[in-house]
Amino acid sequence: MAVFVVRRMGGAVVTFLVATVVIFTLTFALPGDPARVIAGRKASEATLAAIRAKYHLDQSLPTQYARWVGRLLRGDLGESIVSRRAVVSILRDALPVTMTLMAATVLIELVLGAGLGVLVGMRRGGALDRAVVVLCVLGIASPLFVLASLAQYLFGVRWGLLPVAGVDDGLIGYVLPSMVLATIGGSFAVRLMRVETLDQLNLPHVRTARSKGISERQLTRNHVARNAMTALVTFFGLEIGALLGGTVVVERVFNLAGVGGVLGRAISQRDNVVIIGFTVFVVVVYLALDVLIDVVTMLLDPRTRVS
Amino acid sequence: MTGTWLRRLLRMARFRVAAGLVLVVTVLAVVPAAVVSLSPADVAPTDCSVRAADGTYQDRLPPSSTHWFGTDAQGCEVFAQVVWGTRTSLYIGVGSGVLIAVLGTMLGLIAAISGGRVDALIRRTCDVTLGIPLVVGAILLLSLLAGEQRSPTEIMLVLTLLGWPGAARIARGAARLVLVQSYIEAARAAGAGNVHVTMRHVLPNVLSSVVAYSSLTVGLLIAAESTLTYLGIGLQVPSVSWGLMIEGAQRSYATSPHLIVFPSVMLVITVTAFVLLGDATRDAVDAHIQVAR
Amino acid sequence: MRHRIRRAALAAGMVGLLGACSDADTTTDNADTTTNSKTSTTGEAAGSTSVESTDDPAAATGGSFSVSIAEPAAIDPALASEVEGAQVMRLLFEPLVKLSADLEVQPGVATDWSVADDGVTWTFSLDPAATFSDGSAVDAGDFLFAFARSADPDLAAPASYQGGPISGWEDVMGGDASGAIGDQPVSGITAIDDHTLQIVTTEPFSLLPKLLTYPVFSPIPSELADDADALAAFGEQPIGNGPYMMTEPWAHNESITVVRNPQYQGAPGAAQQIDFRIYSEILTAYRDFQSGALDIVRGIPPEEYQNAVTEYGDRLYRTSMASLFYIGLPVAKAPFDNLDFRMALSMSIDREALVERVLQGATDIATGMVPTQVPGALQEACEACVFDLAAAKERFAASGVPPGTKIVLYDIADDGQDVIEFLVNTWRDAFELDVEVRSFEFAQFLDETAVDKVEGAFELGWVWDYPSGYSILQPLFASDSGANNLSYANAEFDALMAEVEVSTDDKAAIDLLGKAQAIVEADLPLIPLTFASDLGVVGERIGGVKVDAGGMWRLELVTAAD
Repeated sequence: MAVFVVRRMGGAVVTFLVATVVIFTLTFALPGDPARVIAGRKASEATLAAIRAKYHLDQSLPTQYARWVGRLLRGDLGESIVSRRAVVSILRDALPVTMTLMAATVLIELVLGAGLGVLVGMRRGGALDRAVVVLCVLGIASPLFVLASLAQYLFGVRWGLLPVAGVDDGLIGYVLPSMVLATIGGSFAVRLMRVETLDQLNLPHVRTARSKGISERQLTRNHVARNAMTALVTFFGLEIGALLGGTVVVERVFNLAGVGGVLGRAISQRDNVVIIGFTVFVVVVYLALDVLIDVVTMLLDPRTRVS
Repeated sequence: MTGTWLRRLLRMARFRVAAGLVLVVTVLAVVPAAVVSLSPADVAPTDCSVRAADGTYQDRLPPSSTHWFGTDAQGCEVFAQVVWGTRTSLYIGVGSGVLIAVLGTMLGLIAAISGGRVDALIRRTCDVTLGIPLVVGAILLLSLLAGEQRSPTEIMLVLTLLGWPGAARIARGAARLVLVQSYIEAARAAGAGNVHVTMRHVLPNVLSSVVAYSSLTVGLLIAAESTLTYLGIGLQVPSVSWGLMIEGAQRSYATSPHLIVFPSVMLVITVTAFVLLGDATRDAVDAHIQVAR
Repeated sequence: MRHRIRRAALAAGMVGLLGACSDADTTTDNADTTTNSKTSTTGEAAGSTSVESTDDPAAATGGSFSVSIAEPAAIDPALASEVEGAQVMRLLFEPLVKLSADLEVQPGVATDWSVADDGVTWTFSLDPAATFSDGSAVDAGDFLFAFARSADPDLAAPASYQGGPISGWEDVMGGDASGAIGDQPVSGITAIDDHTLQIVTTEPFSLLPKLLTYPVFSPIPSELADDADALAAFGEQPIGNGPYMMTEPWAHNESITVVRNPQYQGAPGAAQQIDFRIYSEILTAYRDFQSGALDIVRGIPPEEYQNAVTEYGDRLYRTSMASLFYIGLPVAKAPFDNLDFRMALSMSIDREALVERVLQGATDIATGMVPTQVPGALQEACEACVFDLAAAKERFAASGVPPGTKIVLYDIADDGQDVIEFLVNTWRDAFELDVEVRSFEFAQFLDETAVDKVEGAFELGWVWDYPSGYSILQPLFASDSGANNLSYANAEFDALMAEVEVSTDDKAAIDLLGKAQAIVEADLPLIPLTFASDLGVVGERIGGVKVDAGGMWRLELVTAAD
């Protein structure tokens, strides 16, 4: 067990280093000179040169990478070229918002998946099953930004039920954004759990158990839910990345000062230091969760322990 | 054997509805000009003018008998755009969906069966790619193409490049679940080679998972095109796609709702069709496997 | 990344920016010029609506209100580069001279100023009563430090080039970085005594007072020079000498709150507190306003404009801006080197349809290179600015450019997609041109122009830095201007600009600018499309709204009923 975790973490570190090189190279390949973005069209060469020197933009890519890794080891992700703030402190400001948003979203998806998904899976073919299947398809089919704008307009402006933007009023500000963000992932979770439940019910040992007349409740708890949960945990591993992408859209529409919003803006402003810092952070979170999920999966399903 | 599988599928009502819808959408995508010519305003989707020759304004007209779906802010015929947009959306969605399924299945199978270093390498590549969120990765990759007119093919390839690890993981997971089953051990013990085991036992199982996954991804990929367009890094005029239409209309849903309703409805119908089709196929394949066992 | 709140670069002159403008032409509601009676002078507007004329400051409690803003790049005045930050800085800081709501230069910290006969030596007398919000006095040394800091390559300020006309500035700016910020004095600025400042320019420059209204020339407490920590904190919560001050640091991407500065020597702000709410999307801010969560929304999405006019009536403020939105043409490259071709492109554009329908009347038709409300701007529409399809087709035939020719059109603006689409359709219908659209981020485009790689027409905007037609014409068209990315050069035009620079007579300068405008309108190196407007809506309890023609909201005059 411990060996597995250590090996898994070692792998994650290698992945991390590869990812940073990829991100670094991609970011620097982006067309556009950051110095010009900051100083604009009328800036003189002297101004541009000063900015390039200040942010070491005049050095080669490997030199900059080495400098960056060196600073990373000291917990320093550099300073934003545009706002001149430490990336770490930008991240610290943005993180709680995105974490809360994602936690709320994952919670909604989990409830939908483990509750509704298993429920309709057990009652295949019923009216509820049909309705849920259709709703899930619609949930997947609807473009996120259309849903977000529409929800904002209807709930916020037309009916005045929920805040339109920001989280000044506390957690209630997360209700609309997380519900919108959860539509696609939630639909996925429900479908997945429905299919998993069906699969479990079809397994020989479950069928045998069923034919022996064990109660529905026991069946669900002992055979279906436990095994289906493995699939759900794996699903969330994949889902985290999609959610982070979704936050770029949702945070923009609902004006949340989170990671997605900051990252989106940094890319358009060619704020390389922020792009790299944030993307790398996202990768770290992803890898950490990935290791965690693998461990949880293994605990839930000993069969996969064979490596 | 394939016969029973197909017959079962053809008997499903869901499948017939879905296949019918997919057929309709495919017709729209293949012969859009012929479909548009059925409408009273038979024009190309890019044939737009805000002010007509007689001096009247032709923009944002509501749906009518002459303009079935109305006109947009540039005076373009929405009906013509919706029909022609089908081609672009299907090209991107189905194109990258198929590429992802093929690439993902191949790599997933290779990883599961080979194990060891090959498995580690493929898994590592999946991890790196999945670690970068789709939208962020797409923004980075598509920004590299700045200065070009981004084509549907480029969008399709970028989506494939970022989307394959999902399919690969599912394929690998499904393959490994099968590989530890006792009957595989038995088959191997009986001297069955890797190819035989893969073709006979692993692939059918993997296929059902990948098909179910791909049916979803086609929908997601069509929606992803519109998201990228919304973020300003997707398709550009004079391309015609539902994503571009929805993006252009998304601030006027309160004032000219028809601009967002028609492409959105088409999008939802199309995705629904593909998802239902995939579901039905999966169920049929699953049932077939049950029988075969 | 489209549909962000348009972030203006004061310096960058980016497209569609809510930038600086011309004279005060704040008309209320639907652009109907008959409402010009509202174009009152600042004094009247302020006096009639606000309470700050009351002698007893305690009576001026004023309440508080919220206003939308995009995340500023900086609120440290030395790092000024765009309009959103400037909205905040102008409340926190007061330079030597400032602009009235009618964009006349008026006293700031300097009570009066004069230029010597040599035309280069300026003397400013400082108000001894001027203090920073921490209670310390504003003296000449604070300006010396501020100038040295703004020019210092260690700071690498985006708008450091603004100080170019000041003697010694470029030596500091072009020198080596020393590691400490503000340690290299600018030789052109000296303190005669604590309350007298002398500024020397490299050559006669009559526009110096207007230039000095730019935020990079605001005073900074010189005590900060020795305190690195305090200077670092300064960027998050600056200590200034303006009518408002910050009592808590900037909550990035969320809000900036300012309260009335009791130390301010001038007329106190009308409201006790102003909350800047930071939005990344103009539509979100507008929706928040509609839901009642925001008192003032700056900017209205075009799609909502007509509804807003009907719904909000005289609570909608529309201010014509001295901002030009245009299609630049690389005049050195075929077929753009052909004047007939350029004229044909311009004359084929139905600007009325573009502005009234596509842009929903939220902006104005461009009638020339300089917005009409700029002093001295030519009032009659230029030949190329009048829609005449028949004449356009004649010019096109005369140009010899074959129909079906492929041209490139760069889509650079944030919110310019509608315009690009309109032009593609227009030029295809009129001349069968095959227009290829290429999308660029502004940064990428600047790279292309720097190496002269631009192959086609591009959509851009321009906002002046200070209120003069010179600040529009010279940067865009002068052959030695870094912002002239048209490859355009006309010796006659350059000579007129040189004359304006040394002219001390406003009337004469205006004549010269008119002549220069006629030259560029005949040469047509760019196609004027629209003159932008600043738009905003305020809540029912908000009064005393004044937007200057620079697109700056005079928030110190705004009152909020309880």
